[in-house]
Amino acid sequence: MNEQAVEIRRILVALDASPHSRAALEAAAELAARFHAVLRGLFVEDVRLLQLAQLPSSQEIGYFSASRRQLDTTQIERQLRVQAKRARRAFALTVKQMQVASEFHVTRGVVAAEVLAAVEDADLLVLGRAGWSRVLIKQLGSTARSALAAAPNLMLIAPAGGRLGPPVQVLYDGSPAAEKSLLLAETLMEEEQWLTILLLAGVAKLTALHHPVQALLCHRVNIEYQTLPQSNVSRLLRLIAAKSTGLLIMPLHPASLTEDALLTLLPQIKMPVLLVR
Amino acid sequence: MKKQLQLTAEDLYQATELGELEFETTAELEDLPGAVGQARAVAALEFGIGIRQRGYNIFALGPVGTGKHSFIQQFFAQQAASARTPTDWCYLNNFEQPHQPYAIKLPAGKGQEFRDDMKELVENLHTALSAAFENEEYQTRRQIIIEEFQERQATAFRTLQEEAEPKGVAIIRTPSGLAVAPVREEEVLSPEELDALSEEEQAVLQAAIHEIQDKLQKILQQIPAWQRDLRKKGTQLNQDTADFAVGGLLAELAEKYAEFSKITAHLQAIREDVVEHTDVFLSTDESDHDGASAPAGGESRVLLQNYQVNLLVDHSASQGAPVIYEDNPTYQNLIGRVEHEARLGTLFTDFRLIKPGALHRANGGYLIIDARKLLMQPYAWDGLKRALQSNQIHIESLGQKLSLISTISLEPEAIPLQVKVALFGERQLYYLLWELDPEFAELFKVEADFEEQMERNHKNQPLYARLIATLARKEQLRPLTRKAVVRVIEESARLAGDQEKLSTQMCTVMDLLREADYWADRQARAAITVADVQQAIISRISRANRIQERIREGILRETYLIATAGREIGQLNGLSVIQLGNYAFGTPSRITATVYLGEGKVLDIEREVELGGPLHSKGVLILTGFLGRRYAQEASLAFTASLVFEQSYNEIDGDSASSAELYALLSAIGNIPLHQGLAVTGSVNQHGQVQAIGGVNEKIEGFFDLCQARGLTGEQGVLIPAANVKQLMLRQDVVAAVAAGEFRLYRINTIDEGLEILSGLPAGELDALGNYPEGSVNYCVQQALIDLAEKREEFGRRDGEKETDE
Repeated sequence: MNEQAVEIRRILVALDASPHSRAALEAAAELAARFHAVLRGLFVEDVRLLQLAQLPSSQEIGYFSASRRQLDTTQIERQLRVQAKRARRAFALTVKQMQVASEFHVTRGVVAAEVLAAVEDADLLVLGRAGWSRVLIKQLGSTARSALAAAPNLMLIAPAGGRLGPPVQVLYDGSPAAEKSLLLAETLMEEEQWLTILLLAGVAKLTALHHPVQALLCHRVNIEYQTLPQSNVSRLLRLIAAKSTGLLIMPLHPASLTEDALLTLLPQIKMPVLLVR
Repeated sequence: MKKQLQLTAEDLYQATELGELEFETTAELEDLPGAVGQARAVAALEFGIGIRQRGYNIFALGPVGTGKHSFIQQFFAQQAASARTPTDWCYLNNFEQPHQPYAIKLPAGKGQEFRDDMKELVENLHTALSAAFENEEYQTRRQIIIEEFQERQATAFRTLQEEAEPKGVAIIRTPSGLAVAPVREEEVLSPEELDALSEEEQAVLQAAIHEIQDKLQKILQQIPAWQRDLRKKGTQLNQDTADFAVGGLLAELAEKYAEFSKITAHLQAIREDVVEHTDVFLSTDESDHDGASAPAGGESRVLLQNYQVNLLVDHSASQGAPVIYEDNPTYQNLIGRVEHEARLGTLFTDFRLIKPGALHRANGGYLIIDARKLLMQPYAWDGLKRALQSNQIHIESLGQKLSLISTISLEPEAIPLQVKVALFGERQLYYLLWELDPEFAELFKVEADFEEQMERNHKNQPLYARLIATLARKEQLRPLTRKAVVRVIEESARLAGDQEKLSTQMCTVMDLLREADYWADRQARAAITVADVQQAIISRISRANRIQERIREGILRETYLIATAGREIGQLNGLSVIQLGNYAFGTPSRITATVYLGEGKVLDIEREVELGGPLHSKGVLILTGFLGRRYAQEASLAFTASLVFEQSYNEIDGDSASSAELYALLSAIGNIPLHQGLAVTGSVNQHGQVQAIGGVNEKIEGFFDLCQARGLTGEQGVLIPAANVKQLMLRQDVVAAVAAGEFRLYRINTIDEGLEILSGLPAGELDALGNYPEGSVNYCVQQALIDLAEKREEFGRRDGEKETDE
């Protein structure tokens, strides 16, 4: 493993009480241990909920009971404090197990804004595929979407149940981001592990792409190439194993893949996805 | 007369003629199958085995060591060899009522095959299930069901969200539910922003919020039903997959065992159980997957155990019917038991822990039990009777049987019982059971009575020699020389206590052979010789005769007063036998009588001090009858006599000393000295006839040893009942002393014969006038009694005159 290739010293993980967030915490802790990075946990008390509680006759409907309850600020604040405490406890337990340097912060504000503000001094942002508010809908959460839009250097999106580990797959489109993706893969992988490279480009460019890839990975023996003639999401999905363990590394804006296609693709992937700018 | 009654050396020991046995050593003799001299028992056993009706079980009765057990075992084994091998029995789990396992029978050997097949099935079940559930088709179908649910839920929320967005509201997840909030550009309106809206706009927004809230609530109310639907579909898929996966395996077995309806039903039950518990099989980790061999617990392991077979009775290696001897006939060892195993501190049991009893193993064959051992085990006899009465083996713990515990335990299905039981034990046990247990007679109708003796004749002696050869070979002893066999046969007659009988207590004979073999080994002989047999007999006696020697020493040192010479009035040597352990010996006792004026009573001092048993008292009372009949026809007996065993401090019983007591009494009455060098044994009846007694050889040898120690005079000897002569098998030193005229033995038929030898006077016969000839013993006695009667009459007259004067 070439640990000097990519340097990650600070990792920010955004936490809430969702299952996706728990997966994000585990992945972040694992990467922190791998890169000897400081792991920073961030819990944002969603100000929108407090605003909602301030509105006259605002109600919530119990998810399991389906009964209506009146919302009030005190109650929401108490609930947020409880969530923050749980997040802190889970964070403490995980970093202790992984033996990584850590810090934990609780802030109040708009979640996406607070996260983006905090990510400025981090090398990697790790967050769940969807936050608490989007659990029920199979879509990328608002924070994740905002982060995508803000485009940090490195961002890892973890779905609920997704675990970091082999096999590693890299979506390669020939861009600098793709080459950085390969470098990252190289950094993360053991020598004997298999690397699957998904070549995302037009048919004509396929042959040309092989050479730089091979130059980067000349010492690696176990490489498997999968070609993707067209930028077809469903085809891509089939290529990526439906397993929940693994890691997909891909450029943040892959060639031949529109923004909408990316937003459609990401919620379907069951394994953690590392997006590289 | 004295000479006529005297026994010769030939009378004292019945030797076996060497010529009757035609071999050099027993190595030349063939084994003797069966038992010798047990024709009655053999016939009973043949009858008992042949008759198939209920209740014709066998009780072999006879003394210990007559070979009952070994003979029954051998006899049953012969019969069983040609009999049909009984069925195997298995217990299977009852899926509907697990506490009532099923019993199934299968042809001999098939049980093991079935058990192995089921073991293989259990091993294959998990592989088949794993393969089916890892199969792409299953995974795809499962994913479709899950995604269908997720899609249904997501669609509902998305649709609602899409409906809400144009109305300026959004669904937001709160920490404990969902809320509908007014939004603008994905941000919740603040109260100020809301206030800034016109009343109409606020009303529209509020209406939209209420509308979306209503719809959201409806969706949330539907979610549990969708989840149930998801679970139902998932379960159905799992069951379909499992059914397909194991169906093939079970179908193969069902076809193989199609003729056994219980097995096919059981296989169907397993199929249903597997399908029902698919989730359990899927949720277990790898360590649980190798079935019975898995070391740890786990619900799937427990389930797989339920598919196993408890092969209770396995006849795969049997030839013919079983012959079982239960050495430890406890209730559980007979009837079977249900064991328990501890799991996390609690006791657990199931059909696999049912263990067979002797009745299970012997079912379809023969069961042999020592009656004494059986009766000593609590509830074992009851358990056996119940099984035989019901013709079923119903396993029930003692706790259940006695209603001591009422916790749920197993109630295995009863197994039909067809067994021939043979109990063996002493006669007393048989007669006690017959008398005290009414059910005994119904269940043990065949009485096989084993003799402890057999005829000693020209036909049986060679057979006995073959029996000795067989026993020696069976025990891997050296062969016996012909002379050694002769000595064993003679010792056997001594054990039987009869010149014309041989002992069938082969246990004792066997011990003699083993011990003789030991002495032969010490002498490095290739065969057991007569010297070895003799050494074995002597050694056995010397190991056991410590008490005998102490008593003799006491006599020689005159601690105990026993005269062996001279003449005394009212004093005589009686003989008694003491049995200590397995050794019996004779010893003399001084019997004395005194007479004084009285009312015709014989006082038994032993009885007065409660040291005399009832038989001894009976003997003494007979003496009064004899005296009255012979001497008191004209006048009453006017004396009181007292009789005692001098220096006797233990209880005395038996009537073998009654003749000696009579001689002492007549000597005391008639003032006639008796020869002290003679000892007497024999009982007497009221007519003065001397009757047979037991232990004659030991008694003679006991007195002989004392006389020999003091020096044989040629005047010493023993008077024995004539009826006991045939039982004489005396030691060779006694025989030699008699042959040399150093010791005498007399066979006595009547008291008069004894009196003549003891007193040296004629007994005297009654003449026509009712008188005995002068100088005879009877004359002396009669005259003494007349004198006593006159004196008593004189006393009576004087007493009468005194009373008149007063």
